[in-house]
Amino acid sequence: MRSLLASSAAASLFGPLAILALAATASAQELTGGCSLEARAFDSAGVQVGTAYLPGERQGDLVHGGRRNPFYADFHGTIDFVFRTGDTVFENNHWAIQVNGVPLLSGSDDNPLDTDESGSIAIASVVELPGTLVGVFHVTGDLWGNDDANHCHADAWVALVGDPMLSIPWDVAAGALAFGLLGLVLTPYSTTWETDPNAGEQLHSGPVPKRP
Amino acid sequence: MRKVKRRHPFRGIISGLLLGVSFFLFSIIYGIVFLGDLTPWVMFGLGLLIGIAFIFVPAPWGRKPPPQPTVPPAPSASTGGAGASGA
Repeated sequence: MRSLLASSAAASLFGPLAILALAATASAQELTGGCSLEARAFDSAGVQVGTAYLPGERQGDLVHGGRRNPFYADFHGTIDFVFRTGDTVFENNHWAIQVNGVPLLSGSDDNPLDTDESGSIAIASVVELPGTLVGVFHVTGDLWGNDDANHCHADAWVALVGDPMLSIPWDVAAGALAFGLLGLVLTPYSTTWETDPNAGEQLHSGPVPKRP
Repeated sequence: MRKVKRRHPFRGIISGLLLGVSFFLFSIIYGIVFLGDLTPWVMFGLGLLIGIAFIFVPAPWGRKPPPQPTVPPAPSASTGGAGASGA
C-alpha cells in the first residue's frame, strides 16, 4: 500500500514535470528559475538525433534549441530526459506549455515530493496525430510553485525531422496552394462596355405621362 | 458607352486565405522562422494580401477596345436605282 501511495505521488509530480521536460527539451535555448534539464532524442530506430542541456552552463557543440540551431527530434521517436528543480520542491504548482504561442497543455500538482525526475517520453503519445509531423516549432513552458514564489521558464525551438511530404500538414498546404493559385487566375477583373441606358435623356421627376 | 469593371472580391479573398494557409504551413514545415514566432502569421498575412491585391488587377486576357459607335449608313445616290442602269 505504501509503495502504491509513493508511486501515485511520484506520478502526480512527474507527470507535469515530464510534460514540462518535453517542452524544455524543445527549449534548449533557455531555462530559468533554477531548473535544469538534460535530454537526448532518439528516432524510431533508436539512433540518437539530438541532445540538449539546460540551462546554458554546459553549452557546447551538442547544444541545440536556438532558432538557427533547433533541437532535433523524431515525431515517432523518444526523448530521454533528466529534469531537476534545483533545491526547491515546487509545491502547489501549476504549469502550461505553448507551441508557437498556442496553449497546448496545462495542469497542476498540489503535493510533489521530489526535485528531480528522469524518464522517457514518446512524442507521438503526447501529441496524437495521424501520420507524422515534420517542421520547426517554438515551444515554451512555464512551471510555477509555492504560491507562485518559484517559477521556471523554458523556451526553445524544436525541429521534428522526417520526410515532410509524408505528413498530412504538407498535403493540406500543397492542396491549399494549388487551389489558391487557381483562384488567383480567376480573380482579376474583366472589363466590358455597356450602353448607357439614360445617355442624353432626362429622367422623369413625376409620374410617367400616359400616351394619348 | 460606359466602361464596366467586373471584379471578383469573393474569389480574391478565398484565394488569399488558401494561399495564407499554405504559406503558414510551409513556413513551419520547412523551418522558415526569420521573424521568430510571428513568421507563420506574417506568411499567412502575405498570402491574404496577394489574394486581395489580385482583386484590383486587370485580367490580361479578353481585353476589348471600346466599340465604335454605330452610325447609320448614309444614303447613297445609287440606293434604289441600282437595277435601273441596265446594260
